[in-house]
Amino acid sequence: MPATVASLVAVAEFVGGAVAVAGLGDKDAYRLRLAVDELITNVITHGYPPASAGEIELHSSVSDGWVLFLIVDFGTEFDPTSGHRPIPVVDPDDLPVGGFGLSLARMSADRLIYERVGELNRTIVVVRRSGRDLVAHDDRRPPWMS
Amino acid sequence: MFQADLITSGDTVTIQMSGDLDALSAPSFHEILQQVATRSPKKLCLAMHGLSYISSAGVRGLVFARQKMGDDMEVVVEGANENVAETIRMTGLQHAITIRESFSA
Repeated sequence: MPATVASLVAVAEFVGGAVAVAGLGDKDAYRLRLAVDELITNVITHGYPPASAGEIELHSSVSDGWVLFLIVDFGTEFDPTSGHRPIPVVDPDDLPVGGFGLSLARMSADRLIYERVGELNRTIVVVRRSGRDLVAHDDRRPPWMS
Repeated sequence: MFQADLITSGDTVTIQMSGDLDALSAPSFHEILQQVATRSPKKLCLAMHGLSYISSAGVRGLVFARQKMGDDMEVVVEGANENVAETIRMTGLQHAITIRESFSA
C-alpha cells in the first residue's frame, strides 16, 4: 500500500479482520491497532522523503489468541525498538506536542522485533489475548528514575 | 470516519467527536481547535461519546488545546470509552485536563 495517511483506513480494516479471526477482546484489539497504526504512521511520516512514492507491506499471521503483524518498508533505516524512552511525568505545560507515537506502540505491543535486511526495515508486532490494560505503568515514571 | 461538530453555549465550546481520530483525521481536528482558539472560551468540552479510537496524532491536538489556549481555559474530556481514556492517560495529559469516562453496564 502507498505510504500515505490515507492508507490508515485500510490498515484499520486489516487489523480488524485479524482481530476477528484471533478472537481478541476489545482491549487487546485496541492495543494491536494502536501499535500497528503508530508504527505505520511513523514510517509514513519519517521513513520516506515528502511526496515520494514509498510503499509499505503489511502481513499477518493469526492463530487463536494471538496476532502477529509484519510491517515491511523500504525507507530510511530505523529501529523502533531502540532507545526506549518512557513518557516522563512532567509539568503538562512542558509536554512535547509530538513524540508519543513510538512510546504508545511499545507499550501496546506484547512483543516488538526489528531487523534491517538489505534495504528493508522489517518490524514484527505481536499481541496476545490477555485483556491487559494499554499501559504497563512502569513505562511512565519520573525522569530521575529513567 | 472522523466527525467533529462545534457547539458554542455562553463561555463554553463543545466539540462533539465521533469516529476515529488518527493521523488521517488529525488535521481536521486541528483546524477545529484553531477555530475554537479564536473564540477564547472559558471552557472547552471534548465530547468523545462517539469516538472509538485515538492515536498519538489525536493526542497531539489535546496537548495543543491545553497549551495554546491559555491557563484560564478549562479542558474537559467527557464520555471517552475506556481505551480512548487510557490512551490519553498514557501520555500524562490527565494532569492537565479533566477526563470523565463513559461506562457501559
